[in-house]
Amino acid sequence: MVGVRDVFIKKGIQRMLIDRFLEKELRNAGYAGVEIMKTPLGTRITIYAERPGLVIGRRGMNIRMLAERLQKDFGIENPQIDVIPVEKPELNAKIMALRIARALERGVKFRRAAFIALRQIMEAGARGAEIVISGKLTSERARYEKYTAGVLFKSGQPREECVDEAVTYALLKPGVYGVKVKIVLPRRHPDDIEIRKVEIAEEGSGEQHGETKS
Amino acid sequence: MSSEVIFVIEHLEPVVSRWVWYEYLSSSRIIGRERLLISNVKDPRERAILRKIAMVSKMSILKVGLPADKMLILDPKAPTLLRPDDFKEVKYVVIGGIMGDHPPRGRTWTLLTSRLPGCIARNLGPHQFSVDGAVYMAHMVMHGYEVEEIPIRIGLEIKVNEFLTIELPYAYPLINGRPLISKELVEYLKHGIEEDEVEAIRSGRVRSIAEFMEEPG
Repeated sequence: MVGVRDVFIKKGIQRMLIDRFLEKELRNAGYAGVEIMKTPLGTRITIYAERPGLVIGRRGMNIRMLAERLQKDFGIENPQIDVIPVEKPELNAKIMALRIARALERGVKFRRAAFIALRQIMEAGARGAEIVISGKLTSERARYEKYTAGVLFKSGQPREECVDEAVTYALLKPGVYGVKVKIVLPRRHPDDIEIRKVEIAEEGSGEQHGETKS
Repeated sequence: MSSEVIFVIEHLEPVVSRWVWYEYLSSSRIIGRERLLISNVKDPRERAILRKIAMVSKMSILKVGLPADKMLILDPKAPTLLRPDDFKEVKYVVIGGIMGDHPPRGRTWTLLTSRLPGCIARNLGPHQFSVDGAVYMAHMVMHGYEVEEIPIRIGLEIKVNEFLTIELPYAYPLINGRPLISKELVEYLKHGIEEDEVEAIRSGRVRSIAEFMEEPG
């Protein structure tokens, strides 16, 4: 059993390391996540990104470099990389967190960057969102700035099913900022209850019919 | 004896930023200019500004050569809680002029306590206080209150508008039910800090109060 457990832990660590590597390499391409699947011919790696063109690079140069690095540094056999654009980047927590981090690194005012991101998320149809920018610059205390809009599920099944969450960092000369984004996706959640209209029976029948569906 | 106690803030940050300044200013309001010494201020312009609210020294408290057994350091890492009796033989209460991390890194121990063998080190409980909060707590204990008797609030939320809340994960003493934090600092956190941080990110350094003002407000 220990052997099986070790294999899964090792796989999980490798997946995490690959995710970190791709996040670093594809920061400007709006990296949103990766799926790794073993096939009989090799390993299929599906990269989700806001701007697939930047992942692929000129004449596929970037993607070839990525394949080489994945093979060499992470020991992935014959990696076949697919790049898929994210349909609604504003509803992807990873993309939005990276957008804010990049804005901070460019010297955009952090509250302005966070409010713009919050508005974009809500306009894309999210039910709610929370952005937390935390950190500390030299000669200042560590603090958290929390931006919220709409509803936000903090626990239970709705949180697991409806909330997309991501964390990233902005490394700056005088200190570090952490950016955490939570988005409540516009999908039906377990607490959504729809009450059907009660149909009142005709007078004289003496009965009423009603139905409630959840 | 307690009325002669001098509170020493050993400035340990690279600059006196606006945030640092507001905490020092609030400390001065609590104990008075004549009983507050801010040491280790290297920049002459910063010393000139700080002189309006406290006695100021260029030298570090580590090099002044004060008798170690008359010094009490407030250090969160110290094993013993501060008690009113601790002030019987003490002439100097030393507080680290450090803007804290969360979670704290124990810099007071590294930069002060470990370099002052023989001094008395005490804590104010398990929570991290702001500089002015630590000054207030020590001041109250000096006047006979136990640390446990002084009401505190852990964590402070400052609501800026409908969408934005600032959270400060520190302990704040309560005075008449209100947390001890200067109005100037709250105003700065609400409206001034963003501009300063953007400037710090662009230039790579946090600006000193000497660059902001000729006269302290």
